[in-house]
Amino acid sequence: MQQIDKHGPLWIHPLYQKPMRIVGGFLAFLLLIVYLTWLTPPQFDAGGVPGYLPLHTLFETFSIVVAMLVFAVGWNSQSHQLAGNVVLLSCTFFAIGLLDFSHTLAYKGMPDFYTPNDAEKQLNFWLSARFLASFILLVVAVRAWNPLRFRTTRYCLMGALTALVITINWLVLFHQDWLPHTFIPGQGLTPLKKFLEYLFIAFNIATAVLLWRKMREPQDFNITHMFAAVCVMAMSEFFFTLYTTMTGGYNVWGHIYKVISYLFIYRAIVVEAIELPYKKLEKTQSDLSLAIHASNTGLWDWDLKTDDIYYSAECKAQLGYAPNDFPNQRDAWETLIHPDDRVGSLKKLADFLNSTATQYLNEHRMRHKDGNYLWIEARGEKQFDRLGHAIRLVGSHVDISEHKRLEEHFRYAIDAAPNAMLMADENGTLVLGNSRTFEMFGYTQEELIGQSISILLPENSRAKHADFMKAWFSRPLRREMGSGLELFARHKLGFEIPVEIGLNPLQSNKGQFVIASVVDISERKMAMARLQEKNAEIERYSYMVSHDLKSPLVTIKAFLGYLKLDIANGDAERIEKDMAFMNQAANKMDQLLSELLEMSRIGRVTSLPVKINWREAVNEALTVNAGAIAKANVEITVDNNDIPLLVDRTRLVQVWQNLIDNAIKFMAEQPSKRIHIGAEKEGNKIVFFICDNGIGIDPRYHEKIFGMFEKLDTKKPGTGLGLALVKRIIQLYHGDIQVRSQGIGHGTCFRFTLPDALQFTNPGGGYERKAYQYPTR
Amino acid sequence: MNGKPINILLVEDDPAHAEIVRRNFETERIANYLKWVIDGQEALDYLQRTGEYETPESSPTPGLILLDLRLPKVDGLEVLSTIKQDSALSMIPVVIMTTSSAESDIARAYKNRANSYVVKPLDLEKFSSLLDAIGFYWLVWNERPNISLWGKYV
Repeated sequence: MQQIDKHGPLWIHPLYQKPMRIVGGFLAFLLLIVYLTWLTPPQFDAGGVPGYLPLHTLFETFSIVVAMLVFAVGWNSQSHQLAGNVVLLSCTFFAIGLLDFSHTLAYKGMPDFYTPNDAEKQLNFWLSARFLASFILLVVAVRAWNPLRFRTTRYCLMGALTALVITINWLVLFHQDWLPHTFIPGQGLTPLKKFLEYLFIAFNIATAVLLWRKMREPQDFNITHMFAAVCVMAMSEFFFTLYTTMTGGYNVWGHIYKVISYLFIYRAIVVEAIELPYKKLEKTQSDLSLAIHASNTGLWDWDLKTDDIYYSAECKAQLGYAPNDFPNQRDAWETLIHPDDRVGSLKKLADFLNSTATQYLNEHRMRHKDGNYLWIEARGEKQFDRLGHAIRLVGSHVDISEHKRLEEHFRYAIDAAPNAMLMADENGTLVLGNSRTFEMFGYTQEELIGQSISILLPENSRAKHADFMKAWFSRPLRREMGSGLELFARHKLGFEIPVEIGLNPLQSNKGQFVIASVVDISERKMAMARLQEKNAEIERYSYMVSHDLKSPLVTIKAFLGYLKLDIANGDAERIEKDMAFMNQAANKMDQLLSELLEMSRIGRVTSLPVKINWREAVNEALTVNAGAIAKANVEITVDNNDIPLLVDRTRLVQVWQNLIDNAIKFMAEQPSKRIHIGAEKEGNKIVFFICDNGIGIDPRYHEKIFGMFEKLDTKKPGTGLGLALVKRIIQLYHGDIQVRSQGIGHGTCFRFTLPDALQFTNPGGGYERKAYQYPTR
Repeated sequence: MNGKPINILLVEDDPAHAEIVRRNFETERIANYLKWVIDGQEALDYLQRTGEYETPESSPTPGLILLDLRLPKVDGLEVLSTIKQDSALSMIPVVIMTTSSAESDIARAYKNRANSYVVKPLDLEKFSSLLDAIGFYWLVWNERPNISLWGKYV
C-alpha cells in the first residue's frame, strides 16, 4: 500500500495510463465545450417547441436505442459466467430506456400521452431515468465484479425494475398532483428540480472518484469507459441545470452528452460481454491447437451408432496421410494396426465398450504410410445419451515411438548387464526384469512381471524387506543394499541364493521406481570356502611337515652323537644299532617326502580325463600290487558290472592301489584272507567299495584314519599318508569316503562316491547340485 | 619325597626317540624304572589300569609322564586332558616333549594343564642335558603332593 501511496493520490495503474490519456483528452475536450458554453450562453434557440420537438425526439430515440442495446447485449450474453454488474447495468438500462421513452412521448408538443402533456410530466420521467442511471453507475462502481450468486436473480431484478417503471408511469400519468413540483410555468425550474440534478451530478462525481481509485489496481472490467460514461453524464446533467427554456442550446448539449455517455456504457458492456469472452475463447482455442500440434496429438471422434470416425488432420498426418486420403471409417484404423497388436487391441477395445468404464487407454503399433510402424498411445472417453447408452467415443492418438525406442534402448542396456536387473514400483510390484533375472530366479517373464518382489525373497526376510523398501522409497538414493549383511534371494524351486544388491532410484512420469542390480555371489562364496579350505590345508601341511619331518632329523642327529661316543669306546654292537636307527630315520624321511610331493601334486597336476570302465582301474591297481597280494596270499574278488567313468586314470588307480594295499596290510593272521571289490547303487548314488575280512578298525578311529600322517599302528609300515591321499583324490570329484567296521576282528569296508566322474552319464547333464548351484553361462 | 620308587612313563611313538631317552636315563641313573608306551591308547590303558595293564603290579603309578603330542590312536593332547581330568592322575606332573614348537601346540598343551613343555633338541648333547635337567628338577627338586591326603585339602 505504501508503494502505491508514494505515487500520489491521483496515481493509477500503468495498465490504465494509456487508455486514460485518450479518454482524458476526450473528456477534457467535452469539458472545454461545457466551459465555453457556460461562459457564453448559446443564443441558439430551436425556435420554440414545435421546431425543437423533432430534434428532441431524435436525441431521445437515439438514447433509447442505445439503452436498449445495452440491455440486449448484457442480457443475452452468457450471464452466468459474467459479472453481476453487467446484468445490473443491462436490466437497469432497460428501465431507463422505457422511462426515456415515456419522457419522449410526454414531451411538450407530442400528442397527448394518456393525459395532456406538460413540462412537469416529461420532467418527472426525465428525473426518474436520470436517477436510475446515476444511481446504478454508483452501485456498479461500489460493487465487486463478481457473478450473481443465483441465476434467478436477474429475472427478479428485471421484474422489480419493470414494476418500478410501471409504477412511475402510473404515478406521473395519473397522480402527478401527489408529486412535488419540478417546474412552474412562467417561473421555470423549481429549486427541487435543480437540487435533484445536482444530486445526480454528485452521484456521478462520487462514482468517478471511486472508479479512479479502483484504477490503482487492474480490474476485471472496462473501467476507463465506465469512468468516461459517468464523467460525460455529469456534464450532461450540468447542462440541464443551466437551461432556462426547454428548447435552449444547453438542452441540446445536454442531450448530446447524454447520448455520448450512453454510448460509453454500451461500449463498456459490449467489450465486457462480447469482445472479452470471444478473445478469451480465441486464445484458449489457439493455445489448445498449439498444444495439440506441439504434442503431435491426433484427435478422433467415433460415432458408435454409425461407426463413422472423424480423424483430425493431425491424426492422419501422424501416419503420413493427407487429410483427404484417409477414410473416416473404422476399418481405416483397424487395418493399420500392427498384425501382432491387432487382436489384442480390438479385444481391449471391445471389452472397454462393453464395460462401464469411461476411460480407455491402450498402446499399439500402427503402420505409417511409408511402411514403418509407429507406437501410438490411444486414449478415449465414452459419452452417453440420456438413457445411459454409449453413443460416442472421443479420444486422442499420441505418437510415443520415441518414448518406446528409449524404453527399448533401456531394456537392451539392462539386458546386456551381466547381473540380474529388475525394476519395481513403490508398491514392490515388479515391472521389468532382464533375461539374467529370469535365469537366476527360475521364473519366466510372464510368471514374474506383475508379481510382488517378495516372491524373490526367502520367507523369513519378507516382512523386514517391506519395511526397508518403505524407508528407501521415502529417501531413494543410489546405494548398496544391506552392506555388511548376508543377503539371500529365493529361487523358484525354493533354494536360497547368496546375493549382493545395488539399488538405484528411477523417477519417471509413472512415479518413483527402484532398479535393483542383483549379483549372484554363490560362485564367489564357494570359491571363498574352497580357498579357506585350502588355507587350512596349507596350515595343516606346514605344521605336519615341521613336526613329522623334524622327528627323523632328531633321531639322526642324536644317534650321530651316540655313534661318535660309541666309536670312541670301540663298542661295535652299539655302532651297528646306532647306524640302524639312523638308516631307518633316513628311509622314513625319504618316504615322507615322496608321499608329500605326491599329495601336493594331486591338486595341481591333472591329466585329461578319459572314459574308462571302473573295473579297468581296479585291474590296473591289482597288477601293481600283484607281488604283495601273492605274498600275503589274499583272495580278491571283483564285481562284474560296467560303470563308465570320466576320470584321471592314474589318480583312480592310485585310489584303488592304496585301498588294496591298506587292506592287505591290515589282514589278521588267518587262514582265508579275502578282499571283495565292487560297485553298487545306493539310493541315487553309485558307491564303490572294498571290503576285507582283516583286523578291522575300532570305530573310535574311523575319522582319524583319513588324517595326514595318522597311523593307528606304528609297527606297521607306511607313513600315514595313504588314506589321506585317497580322500583328497575322491574330494576332487566331489565325492566322499567312509569306513565301515564293526571293530577289531570284524573286517573293514571302505565305501566311496565319485559324482563328478559320473556326470557325463546323465544326458541331462544335471547331477545333484548343492543348494545354491545353478547353471551359469 | 615319599620314598616310593620313582617311575617315569614315556609316551613316544618313535622307537628311536624312545631309545635316546632310555640310553640317557640309563647312563645318568636317575630313573630306577622307565616305562615306554608306544601310543596314546596304551598310555591310557597303563594309567587307568585297563586292557593288558589291569593289575596294579603291572602298572605302578608313575612320578612323571613324558608325553609326545602326535601319537597314533589317541592324540597326545587327549591323553593329557584325560590325565588332568582324572582326580587320581591329575597330580602327576606331565612334561610335553615333542618335536613341534608350534604356538598352537604349546597353547593347547598348557590349556590342558601340562606342567611343562619342551621341544626335542636336534643336538645329542643338548638333548642329554635337557633330559638330565628334567630328571633332576621333577624327580629330585620338585615336591609332589601325597595322594592319600589329596581329598583333605580340596
